[in-house]
Amino acid sequence: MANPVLILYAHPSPNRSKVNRYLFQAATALDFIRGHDLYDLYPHMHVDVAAEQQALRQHGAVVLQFPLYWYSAPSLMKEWIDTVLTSGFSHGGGEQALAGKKFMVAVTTGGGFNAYADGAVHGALLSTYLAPFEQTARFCGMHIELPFIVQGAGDIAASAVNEITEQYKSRLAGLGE
Amino acid sequence: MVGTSQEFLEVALTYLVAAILIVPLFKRLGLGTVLGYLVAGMAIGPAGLGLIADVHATLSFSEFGVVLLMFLIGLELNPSKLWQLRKPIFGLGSAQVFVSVALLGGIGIFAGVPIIAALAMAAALSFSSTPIALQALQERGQSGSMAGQSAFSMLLFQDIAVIPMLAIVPLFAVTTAGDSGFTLMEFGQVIAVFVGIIVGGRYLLRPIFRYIAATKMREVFTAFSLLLVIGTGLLTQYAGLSMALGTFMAGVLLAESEYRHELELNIEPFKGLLLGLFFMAVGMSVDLVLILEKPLIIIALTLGFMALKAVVLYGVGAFAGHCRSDRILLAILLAQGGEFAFVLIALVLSVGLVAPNLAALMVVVATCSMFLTPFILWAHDKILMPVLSKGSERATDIEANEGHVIVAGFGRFGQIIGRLLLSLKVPVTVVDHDPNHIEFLRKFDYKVFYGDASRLDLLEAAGAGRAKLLVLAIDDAEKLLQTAELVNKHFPDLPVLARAKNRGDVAKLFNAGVVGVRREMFASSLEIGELALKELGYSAHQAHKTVMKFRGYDENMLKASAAFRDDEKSLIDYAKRSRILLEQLMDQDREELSKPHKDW
Repeated sequence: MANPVLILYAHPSPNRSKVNRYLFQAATALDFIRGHDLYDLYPHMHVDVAAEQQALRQHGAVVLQFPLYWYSAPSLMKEWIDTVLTSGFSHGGGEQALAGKKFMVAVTTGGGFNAYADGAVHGALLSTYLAPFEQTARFCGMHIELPFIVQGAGDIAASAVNEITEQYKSRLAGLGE
Repeated sequence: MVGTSQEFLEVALTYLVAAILIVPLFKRLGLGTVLGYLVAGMAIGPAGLGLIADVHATLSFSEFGVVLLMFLIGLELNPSKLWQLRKPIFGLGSAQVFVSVALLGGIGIFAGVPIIAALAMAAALSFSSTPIALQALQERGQSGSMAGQSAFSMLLFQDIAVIPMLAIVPLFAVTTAGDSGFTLMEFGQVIAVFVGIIVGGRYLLRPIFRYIAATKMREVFTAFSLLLVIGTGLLTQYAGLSMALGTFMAGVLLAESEYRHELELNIEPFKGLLLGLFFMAVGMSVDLVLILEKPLIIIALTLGFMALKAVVLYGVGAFAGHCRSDRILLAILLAQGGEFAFVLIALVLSVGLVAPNLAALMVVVATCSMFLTPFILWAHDKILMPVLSKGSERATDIEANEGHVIVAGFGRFGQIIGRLLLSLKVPVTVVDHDPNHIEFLRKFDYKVFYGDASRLDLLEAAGAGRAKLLVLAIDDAEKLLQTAELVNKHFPDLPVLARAKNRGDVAKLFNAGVVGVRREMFASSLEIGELALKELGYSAHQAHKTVMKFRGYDENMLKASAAFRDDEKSLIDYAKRSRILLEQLMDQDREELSKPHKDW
């Protein structure tokens, strides 16, 4: 693959994850993928900014992978965004290190597809809640790819996980071209 | 037969009672155990109560303690470590011996003693006392320090140098003697013994040890350990070498064997007892009659002799690059005459090289110098070091700081805090009462002040009235609490953070008004606990959160239990109840975690 892909994976309780962790496991087995398991690397919430920025420089595509909690990412994902994407590195003049790279969100949600709609329990389309992440990437000059979404992931049958994983791998392969 | 064995037991009883009565007392008084043994020996010896008559037999028997000591030292040093020490051993060691011999011999010749006799006596007196010096180093925990290494190197060189000296002296025999020193045969014997020890140590001992260890009979292992040391000692002595050197070599060869710790445990008590006996024998052999006859001459000779050796040692220390306080320590540690003086002087006397009255005088001088060493060391610790350390940085110099942080105690604990604050350019005033610490830290450009933080005047001098914060990182828990109480009384506005040894201290410190307390082992133990959970399959973050939760519960319990500190029964009740509560709380978390997949 010409274009190595960096996956930033944030799952605070991976041992209980029904889908997300298997996606990450399968993805990191691919040779053009580098995965950073943020909760494993930084269990005390202290992110190594220099190392993360260096990794970003070395990859042509960036994936934020996380379970959706309370209409957002787990807190370490936000901490990563806040500390790594600094003025002078990713935006605000200077290096513009992310400009021109591909960006994708890969998200699993507990609620099903129908729960995310105007007037439904979750009040709005899922895209509403992913917008802040995509806007962040856009602000840094990245190309936004369609998100990879698995809904109702808390109730998915184990037999279905395999197929979802294959779909994820093909999306990643597309990013890597 | 019954009579002699009873006699033996009576003598043993005398030694044991004297040691038990006097040695702990001296240790309590801070004078060191060596001096205790010496005084105990003096008390029961011919000069004192006269309970023991045959001093010489005791002395030569107990010299075996020195041999055991050298064996144990050998066990601590494997061949590669010994090889690293080759420069100090031969460089510093030979410098010390040759310069001392030249000076002492020169004085002897100047005083009219025949050249050969003067040199022989000078050689005898140039040696120091291995047990006194090493015991003193061990008691102050400095065996591994730089000064300790240099002292040890010089002592080891002396052990080597005594061999040719013992061999050469008979060559100058005035009285006819059949033995004319080293022959080619004997040289061959020496080589054979050395090769024997090395080959045996490498290839023979392990299988034997394994065989004996397999019997699982402790006393047989002890017996074999002793047999090994005594056997090696006698073998080397038979070859004309010093026993101590032979057993030292055996120790070095066994330093890497898996039986090392077992050997140490077995030999250690014998060494301790025999060394005690040796010190007592030295105490007993103080010739009070001679001292009373010519007190002034003997005092002058002893002090002059020690001063001369001390100057040489100080110079050697400077050459080795030691700091001033280490040089002074080295000079005091090795300035005395040693047990080799007795052996060599006896030999010199037996071949008729020296007049008996001169030999007796020199033996008294050597004994007196051994006797004086613990006193001088005591004075060094209690009087000289405090003065020297104060001299270079006066307490009044501290006053420059304002709005600073005072860190009291700058060992491993305080240093971490100090490094953090200094890296942030926070003005820090460090107070420590260990002169060695201070000297060491000054080399790294730390501004460290000598003093006992539990003293009000020192706290005032360190600017406790104007400081922002006091961090108590002193190792001594009692002193730390005293200081906290003192500060609470006299500087109630100064916030204090304190290190605590254990749970009990935490409550006391909070009651003394300390704003923050941390148990010294707690955080690092929890960190290992966190790693353990991770190894057991917890995710890294989950392990961290679980440990933090445990930490929170534990600290809350600790705070609550401070209320019961004066009522032991309620405290124990509370501790029991809270342990059950803690288990319940952690159980809930665990169940929560082990529930089937709930997350996406």
